[in-house]
Amino acid sequence: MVDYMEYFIRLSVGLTGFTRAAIAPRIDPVDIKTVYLQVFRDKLPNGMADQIICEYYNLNQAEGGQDGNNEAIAGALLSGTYPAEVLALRQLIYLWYMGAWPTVVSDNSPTRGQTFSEVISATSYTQGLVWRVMQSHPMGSSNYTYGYWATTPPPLQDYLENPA
Amino acid sequence: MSITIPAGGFDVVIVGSGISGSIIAYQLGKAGKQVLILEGGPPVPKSREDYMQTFFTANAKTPESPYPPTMQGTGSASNPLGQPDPATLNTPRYTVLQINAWQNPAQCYFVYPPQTATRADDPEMTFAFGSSYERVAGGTTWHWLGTSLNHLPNDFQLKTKYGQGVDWPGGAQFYQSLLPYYRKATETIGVSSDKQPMVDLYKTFDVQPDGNYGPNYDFPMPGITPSLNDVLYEDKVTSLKIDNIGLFVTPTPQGRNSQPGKRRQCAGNTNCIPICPIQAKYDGTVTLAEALQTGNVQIQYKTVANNIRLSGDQVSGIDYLTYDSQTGPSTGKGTAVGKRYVLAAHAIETPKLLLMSNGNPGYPNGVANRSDQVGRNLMDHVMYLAWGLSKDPIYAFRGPLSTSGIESVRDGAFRTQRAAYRIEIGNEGWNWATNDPYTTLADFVFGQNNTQLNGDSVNQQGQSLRFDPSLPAFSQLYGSKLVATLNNVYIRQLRLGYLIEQLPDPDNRVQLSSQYKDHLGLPRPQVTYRIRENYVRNGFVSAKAASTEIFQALGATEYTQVPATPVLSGTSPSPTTFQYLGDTFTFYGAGHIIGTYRMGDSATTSVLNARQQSWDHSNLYMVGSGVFPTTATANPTLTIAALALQAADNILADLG
Repeated sequence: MVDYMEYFIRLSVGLTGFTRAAIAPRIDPVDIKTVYLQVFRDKLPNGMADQIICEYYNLNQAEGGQDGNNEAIAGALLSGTYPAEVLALRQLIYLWYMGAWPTVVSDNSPTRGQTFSEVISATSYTQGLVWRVMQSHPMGSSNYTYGYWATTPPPLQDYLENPA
Repeated sequence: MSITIPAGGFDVVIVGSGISGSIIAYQLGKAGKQVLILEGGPPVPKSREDYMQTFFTANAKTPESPYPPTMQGTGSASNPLGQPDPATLNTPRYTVLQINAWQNPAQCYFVYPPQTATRADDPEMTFAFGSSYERVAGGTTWHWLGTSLNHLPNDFQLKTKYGQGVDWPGGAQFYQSLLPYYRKATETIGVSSDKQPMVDLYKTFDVQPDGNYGPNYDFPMPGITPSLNDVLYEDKVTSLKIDNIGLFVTPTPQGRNSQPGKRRQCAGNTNCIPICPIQAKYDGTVTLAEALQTGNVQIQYKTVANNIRLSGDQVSGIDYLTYDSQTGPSTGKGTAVGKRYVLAAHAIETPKLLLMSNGNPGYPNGVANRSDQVGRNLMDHVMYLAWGLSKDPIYAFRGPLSTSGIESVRDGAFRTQRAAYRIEIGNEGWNWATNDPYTTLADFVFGQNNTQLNGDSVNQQGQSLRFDPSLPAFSQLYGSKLVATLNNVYIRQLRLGYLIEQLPDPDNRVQLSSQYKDHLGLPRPQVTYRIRENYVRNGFVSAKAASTEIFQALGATEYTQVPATPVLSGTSPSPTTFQYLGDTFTFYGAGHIIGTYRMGDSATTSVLNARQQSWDHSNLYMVGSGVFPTTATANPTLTIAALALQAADNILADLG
């Protein structure tokens, strides 16, 4: 029996470029990962989410099943030949970064299309990794103190290795 | 809450509980006068967390997004944002989301005439108005930025000095008379600013003495710390001139706490617009609470004024309708009576109320409208936005949305030819410019190029805009490469906003729609809005050239997008794009709704006298940016507050 949450975490680490400590901290009162796994399952048709996680599991097992090499395995899935799955993986990246589920409208215009998204919850908004990749805080939810904006923030790595 | 009519009746009835209405209520209540406020919207929530939750879950984080009535629902093909039909709401208002639906009255509260221009460079082209307002207790300062500058003396004598627009009543003298009130306004709002930068700035406009508020003055709190972004501009722009005026950066006086006091110290939530989560930024609810605490001020919420009654030439009462829920039926009606009346319902709803009140003998065109000026001269600061990427990180998306600006070019001899502007330096990256962080993220995750960072885009200086030349166009990234790319983009994002003054145009006006109503059955505003004068359009030309020079001086790459050629026909014509001298410009609203019941020296050309008292009805006053004869060059709120304080003194003098 595949531990879906475990491999969802490993997949998410590989896709987002953040560490396991940020995606699924050992002490995790917010537990956004559970919300996102549910969204991932709900938004995709015909059990596609679990199918993707199983594919990740299989590739991981083929390498010995250790938790590591997540980015390479995620990359292998992204270079797959089934467009709907590749899109779903990209939608999952966006979900982690923005706390919102995207709808991608592709066309042949110079911009190649537009993306619209639906916020999952107030918590998912503030948990968005995008605020951390910019070494800042969610707009409207700062834990910093007066004047922090006049100094250089902590290094990016700190944001990649710690939960929000 | 039920209203208790005092033994001697109300001294003053005020429509609207925003910054203007609340200031007047507080000043009068403090002086022992009995005041009733009619507020169309709901009360201040017990906790602003209610509004915060609405903001967090909103898909589009527009200025209106936290506030009722909610403007976004489940989308459909014909209504992708799920915007409610204004006909179903008791207090609908105009929102930024409605701009793109400007020709669709099933989504847009304002009713616009169809586009009749056939060329995008035709000065007669009509537009969607760029700015919005709130109908809630505390008013639109819920989502103001906090910029607390005063106008310059020459702003008040634009006609006399430069031959443009009109003067304010008394011209330069108006500035002198307003100075003590400006000073008081900084205390009312709680402005944080160092004195010296203001002294230095005002010297360049020949304003003496001791800076701008007279001797022995200092601001309530020290200036807000400038951002790393500001420092880059401070270092680089002094090499530049615009129309022979040297540029330098001035830290902005801001209505937010630099120190803990009655309110919390700013924590840099980078969310002043649409909502400060900790009320470090002043808003009208601060003064509203002070007013209610006097014990002499009462307020009736969810009460929409719909008619002003006259007895002879005096106002004798204000009729209102009440409601409970936004989409429910009207629950009652009544008439509020006082000795004096104040309209403080912002520059759209105030003229709408005056025009609706057209059943009084001798006043068929509405109350206070013998001049036929009510609803005319609608203005905004039309904004030109420019954005770019700095060479080295400046760490955008941190601190208040703006902490500095370039003020030195707000006045000069050029004003015989073109509109003046102030340049606001943004700290919020491309949040306003491209709806970041969403757009950059989507570009690099899905291989799109809406930011110009991920394609074959070239800017107007011929520079390639692909952020990472080692990547192919329309790259789809993930993992560590996505992290590195996004980080390097976001921490370099720069934004400039030019607040270009607009001239009064009598045909830019608010009228009553003959066809469309809100859920209370009241007519909706019909809005006609143009930018006809070359004077104003020249401001855009100057702003565009200045941006390019500034970004070059910074060593930054400019990413300002050239708008697509405007569409003039069909079901969705371009709302805010025009062509001028071969260039295409999109303007943005500054949130400054100005001019629809202006002050003046003559009863034939203005609605109010210099006391902000109706020429037609001596017991009726109006306040807010609707009284401004011109937009002038500062963000309006400090002037709104100063004028409200002045009007309160005038009303107290009347009441004796």
